[in-house]
Amino acid sequence: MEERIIRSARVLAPLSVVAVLVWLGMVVFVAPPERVQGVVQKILYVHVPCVLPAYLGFILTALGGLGFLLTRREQWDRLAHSGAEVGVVFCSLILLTGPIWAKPVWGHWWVWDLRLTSTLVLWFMYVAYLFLRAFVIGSDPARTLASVYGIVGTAAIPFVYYAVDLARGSTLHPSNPAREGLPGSMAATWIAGTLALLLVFAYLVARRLEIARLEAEALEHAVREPGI
Amino acid sequence: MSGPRVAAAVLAKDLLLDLRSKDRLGHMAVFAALVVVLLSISLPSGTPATRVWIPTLIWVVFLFTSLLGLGRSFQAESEHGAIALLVQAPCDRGWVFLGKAGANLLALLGVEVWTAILCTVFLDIVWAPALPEILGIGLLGAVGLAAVGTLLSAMASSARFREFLLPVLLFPLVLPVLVLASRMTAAALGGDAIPVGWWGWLALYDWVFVLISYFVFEYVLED
Amino acid sequence: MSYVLAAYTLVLVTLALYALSLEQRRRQLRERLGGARHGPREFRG
Repeated sequence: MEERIIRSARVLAPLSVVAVLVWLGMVVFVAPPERVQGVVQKILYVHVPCVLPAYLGFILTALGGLGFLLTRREQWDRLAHSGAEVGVVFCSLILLTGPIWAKPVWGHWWVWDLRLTSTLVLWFMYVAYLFLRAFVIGSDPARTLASVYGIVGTAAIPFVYYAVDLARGSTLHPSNPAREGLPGSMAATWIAGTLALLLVFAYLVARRLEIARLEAEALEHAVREPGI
Repeated sequence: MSGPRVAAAVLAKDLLLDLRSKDRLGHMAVFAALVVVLLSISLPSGTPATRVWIPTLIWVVFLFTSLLGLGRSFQAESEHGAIALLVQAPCDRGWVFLGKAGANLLALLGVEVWTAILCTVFLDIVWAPALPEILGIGLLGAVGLAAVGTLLSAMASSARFREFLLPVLLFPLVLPVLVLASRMTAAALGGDAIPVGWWGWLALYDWVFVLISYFVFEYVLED
Repeated sequence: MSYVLAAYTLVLVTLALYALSLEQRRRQLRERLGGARHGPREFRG
């Protein structure tokens, strides 16, 4: 399975480029300027499409971790690690584009929107996962403990969501209009963006996975034939 | 030796260690006092605006104090190479977890009582009218923190930069406890009814994470 | 308007740079392994 994912990068690369171009084209020419926010509203088409890849990355991390604990095959751990690295990139982009959108529209850099705040906590979980991998001594313990953290972190997500809603849900901040039913051309652009970034996500994961695989090979060779 | 007996043995050993050496408990007590005093001196006195934040501040103090103690949860084993002995326990590793977490729970409950006393003295918090609720919140909060904290402390025990890693791992996971416990405490102190849903979610959190930690602990002890 | 440009530039440039750094790392590793593997092979086993 790892092979197939790695091989798919060759197809995914041109596909994602095309998809990105189509998406950008639609943002400029198809999506209409919104009444209230004006052209700034178009940040929606880059902010929201980052969400699915970010969460998908976390799902890969969790599933990869689970797979590793159950099968002890390093393939799974490589998948988890790749998911985490690519996922955290997209997660960071959500947290950066969010404020860029919020500032001109609502006057604050940060808004305590339920989704944005939950994403912030997710980001900290990603970072914790990556630090854990980096600081645990020994690569097998690192894989095992990281897998455990991935699972425990996933279990915490519904509670985090509930807690953030409880804590911040009552503030009278304008909610993200992304979910409130978009008219045709807007929806199409938003879908194009999501598709494009999903393809980019898949491509990046495939490449990152290959690197992890190659690194593992390199380690094997170093062990077998030290000095090469 | 059966599971529960192993758990009891681990708990008893840790408890004895805590009570005899007084390091961990003593340091936590001093730290909590330090922070409460710091807060009570620097917070503007008595305005309703400040008072609103106090339940959350109390729980934050508790969280940081607990961090101090949790970080040392496996220190004794780690220093004396005794982790291997834990691994060899002739039962589900989960029971070892329960013993360890139980000892941490008792320590955390002690910290809570101490912090509550400090808050009465320095922050004029009156606990009595809402005592049953406060006890319930304190228990549920401590169980959740003890469960997740013990698990993560074991994970971080052999890592580099342990003092940095543990909070980084812990805080995202324990946020729900902080939020729920603060809100519930604020409601209790303010004389408002605590929604059943809040109790439910906190209890669910405890249940889920004690269970998960129990099952997952054997993987953590491997290293 | 500048906000829109900032957001899109940020995303596109970040993703492009990340892709490029992955590509570079990948090439390095394949070169290193090309010799050790006794001849270039696309995939292992």
